[in-house]
Amino acid sequence: MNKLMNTLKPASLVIVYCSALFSYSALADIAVIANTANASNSLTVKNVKKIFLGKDNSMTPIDQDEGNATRNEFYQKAANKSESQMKAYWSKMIFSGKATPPETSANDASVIAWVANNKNGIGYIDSASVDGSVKVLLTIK
Amino acid sequence: MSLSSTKILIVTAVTYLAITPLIVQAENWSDKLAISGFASANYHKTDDPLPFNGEAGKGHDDQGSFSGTRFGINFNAIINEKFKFGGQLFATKEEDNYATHVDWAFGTLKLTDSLDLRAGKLKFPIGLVNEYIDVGYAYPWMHAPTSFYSEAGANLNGPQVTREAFSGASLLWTVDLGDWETEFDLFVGEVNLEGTDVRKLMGLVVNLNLDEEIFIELATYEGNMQNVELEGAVQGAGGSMWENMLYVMEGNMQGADHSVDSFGVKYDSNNILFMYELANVTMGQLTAMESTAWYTTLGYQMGKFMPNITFENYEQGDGNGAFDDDQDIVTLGLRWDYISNVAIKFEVAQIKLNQGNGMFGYEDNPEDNTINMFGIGIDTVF
Repeated sequence: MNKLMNTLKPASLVIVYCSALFSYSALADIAVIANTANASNSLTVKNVKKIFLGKDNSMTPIDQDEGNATRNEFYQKAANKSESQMKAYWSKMIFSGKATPPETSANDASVIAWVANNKNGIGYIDSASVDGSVKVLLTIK
Repeated sequence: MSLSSTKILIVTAVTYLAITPLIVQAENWSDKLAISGFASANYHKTDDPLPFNGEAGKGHDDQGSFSGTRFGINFNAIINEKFKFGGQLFATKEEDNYATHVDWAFGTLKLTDSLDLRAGKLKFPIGLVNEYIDVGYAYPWMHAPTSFYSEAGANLNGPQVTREAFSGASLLWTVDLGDWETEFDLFVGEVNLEGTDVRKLMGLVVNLNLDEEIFIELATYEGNMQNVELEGAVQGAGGSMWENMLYVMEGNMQGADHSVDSFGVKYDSNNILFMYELANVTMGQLTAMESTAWYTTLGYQMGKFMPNITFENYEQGDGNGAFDDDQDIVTLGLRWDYISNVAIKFEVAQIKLNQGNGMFGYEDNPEDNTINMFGIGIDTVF
């Protein structure tokens, strides 16, 4: 058994590193939007990731509903996480008492409306849906 | 309007007036209070009559067992931007009943943007999954690796990393070191393990997190054992060899130090999941009460399916004692994300006893040194 384990340990590491070379292919650009009164003009992907994963409380995020294609695209691009990985992530955070997930909204239009009405709000939408009621802090391609 | 209708109207009006403040209060709280839950239903069957990983009625044997079935309700209340409070009620199958208890409950005070003070009943932060160990949906296995994370009392399986929560406080400092988000968790408190109080508990956990993809954890804690009463401990000729050994252990543990040192690493990205954890646990000076455990898991996400394989090893004592253990477990598992928030899991495991009885207890011997087990389960969060 020990011999088998010793044989498999390096092999598993090779699989890990080789698989890390694969990347996710983009489908649509995602615009990260904020209220026009927000002092910030730009954010990094890392900033955005921390806000939406409940690790930075400097802004109030609004998420999109589960199953929404824009949501899945956003988390795949911003956090490199699939829908099921995000669910597992929030299960860990909620049931360890560390954080609770953001409120959700149905679609791009409702996210724009919510952000436009919340001075500290931040959301994400398909970049094609952006209008003048909000400002874009980051476009994730 | 009849008298009866008038009465109904009055009762309705009084009831409405009575509950209106509660409704308003509830509406105010709805923004602050989040209620969530989880449940896991598991079935295991082995090819040996001796129960694995638990006493008779709790462990898994050749009759099949739903032991490990569990559920919990959790609430998190954000009181204001500086303070939040959360708690969790947890129930698990014990023989024919479900024992319910407060799994954890603590308040978090934000001292600065990077410093939190937590106090109350907290889950042990030792181990990559210990703080949410009963939430099957959060990990690929049906249950956390039993060689590493304890499920039964020390007098049955020997010392392992405990899953009990401790009462005390924790100072959590988060700082970015380059690209690594680094978390230092300094905690103090006390905990009641099965048959043992651990007082003057103090520990430090350092967590390094690179983009939620690579995690490294270094952890250590130490405490002093008091009020040790091991079930079944008997002095002298009236007891079996094992009961006499328990008596010796009990005396040795009284007032002695208990410590855990652990290391863990996790890679979770690009459809790959890799985990490795190693821990050394001591409960007193006896070599029989020192154990080392490790496991490694490799999984690959393919759409809704994640096949995974886990190797575990558990060693107790120095290999020369009558009750020393050396046990390997290999588990092939499959997680199927069946529908949103529901995962179905299958596993086939082989337990190999290189020395001792491992997690089959000490009173009787399994019929063979290699025991097979299969399991099926369903996990949900809501």
